[in-house]
Amino acid sequence: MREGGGAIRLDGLSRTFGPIRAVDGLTLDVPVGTVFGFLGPNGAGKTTTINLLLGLLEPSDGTATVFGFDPWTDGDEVRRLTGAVLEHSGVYGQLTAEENLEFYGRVARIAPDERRARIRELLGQMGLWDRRGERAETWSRGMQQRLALARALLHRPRLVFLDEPTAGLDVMAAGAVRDDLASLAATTGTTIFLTTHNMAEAERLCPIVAVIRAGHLVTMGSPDELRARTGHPRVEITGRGLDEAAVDALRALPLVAGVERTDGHVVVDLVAPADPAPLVSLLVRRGVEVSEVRRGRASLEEVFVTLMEEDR
Amino acid sequence: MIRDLLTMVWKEWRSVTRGSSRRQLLFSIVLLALWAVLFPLQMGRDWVTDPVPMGLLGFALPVVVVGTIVPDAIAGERERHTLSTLLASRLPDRAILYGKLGFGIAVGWLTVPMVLAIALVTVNLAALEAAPLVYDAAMAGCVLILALLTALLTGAIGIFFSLRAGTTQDAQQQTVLALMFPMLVIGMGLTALGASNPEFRRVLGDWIESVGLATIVLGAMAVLVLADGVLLRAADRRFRRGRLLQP
Repeated sequence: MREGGGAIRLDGLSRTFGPIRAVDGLTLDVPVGTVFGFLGPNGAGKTTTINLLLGLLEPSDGTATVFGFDPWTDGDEVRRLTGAVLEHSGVYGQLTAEENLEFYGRVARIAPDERRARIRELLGQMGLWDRRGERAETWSRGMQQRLALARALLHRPRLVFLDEPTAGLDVMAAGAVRDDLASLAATTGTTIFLTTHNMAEAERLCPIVAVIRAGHLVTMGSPDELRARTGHPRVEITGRGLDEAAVDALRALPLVAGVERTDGHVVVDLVAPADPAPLVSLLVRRGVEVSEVRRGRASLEEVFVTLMEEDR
Repeated sequence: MIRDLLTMVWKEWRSVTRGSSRRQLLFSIVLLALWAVLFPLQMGRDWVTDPVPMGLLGFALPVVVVGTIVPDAIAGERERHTLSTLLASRLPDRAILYGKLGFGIAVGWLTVPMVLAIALVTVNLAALEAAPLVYDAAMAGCVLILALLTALLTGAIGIFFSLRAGTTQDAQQQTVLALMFPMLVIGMGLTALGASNPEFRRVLGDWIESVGLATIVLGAMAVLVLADGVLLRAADRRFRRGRLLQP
């Protein structure tokens, strides 16, 4: 690793394909040892950014460094320090799970004894050891994805790129992959660059997220910071008698930014963090039998939608 | 570099042996049945003395085998979505290229002596002559050299078609056609001219006699060596990570 800087540093990074600017002046830093969420809609430039960071594409403009190395000119160094699970699992279906890892272990030049031990360790961790002799093409997508994750970690990389690792998996398989990632981040200190559509996943795994759209950075920060920037503080009230008149009365309050009502339940967006007592007392005065009051917060998904709308 | 190259060859070998689908198996059996059994049976003792069928074997077999393996190793990886992961590894471009190319060429070339050997057994079993029939050493040597040069040519052409083709099947068909079609046209043209024009046959025969078959064969091989060198160098320059993932 070269001195100075974080795991990844982008400065005005751009990549065009003909008239299309897939990545447009991206500037950001990814600290070492963090799980960095890279969020954006389809076609936002997430995969192109990963390909640029792995030295698989040449930047049209700007610079990128990974542990101080330029991926385009020092690609071999960058790829030696990183692992990747890209858009597709990249698992060789004709080979067995063990052979898949054996191949990439040889690629990484891991000594035979260490390679065997590491393969056993990783397949064991992923719950795949007992099925190591089966051809990977006979496996479910979830199992293949876990095998891909094992492959990416085989040579103990300092940074792992994960491009939508749970996309297309069923709930159980996605949950298992998320558990693996959480455990990886907690135990090894490996930097993880994670792209995902799944906001709950990003919220669970990523202390820092960046949101991109049409190739440019929309915002970056912790999920709470993003909420603070884009979302309203919120109070959820449940009770009997929450009719339209009560909702109108709530809307008339100056601290209320908006109200949504469903059967027996209202979600009140506040203009600023505030005590919900005035809301409750107003409703009680209007004859509402309040059974539950809860401070809520916007989900990262709502924050994401708001950001996309603001950036339109 | 050599270690990386051997790693790539190891993976290709495992993929082929593990992935022996019915289609591949059928393909191998048909090739073997045609070149090692059917044609030698039809030709009898001429199989070991006539340079034409052996020359055809030395050309056609590597074209078909290498033209199947090399495109599958590159276009096939792209089609099966494993190429980008491979490119994201620390393997150098050249190790990937020459590992895949080397494996295809080795298999394509080694098929020829193997088929020649089986064909010899077939001919001997069918002929049942007192003295065993054997190939002329110089002719067999020429066939093996021709097979190697053709395998190299097919591999290099296979790389180019693999980089551009939409599917593995497209790349395989284009590679085999690019080599077989011109030979087919030349062969059919010469046969047609010879059949309809005895004068042409005589002139051609005189020319071959005056120049000498050995000179013609050496000349053809020199052209192949040149073509191999140019195409392999071009493939080496073209096969770069930065170009392989362009949309």
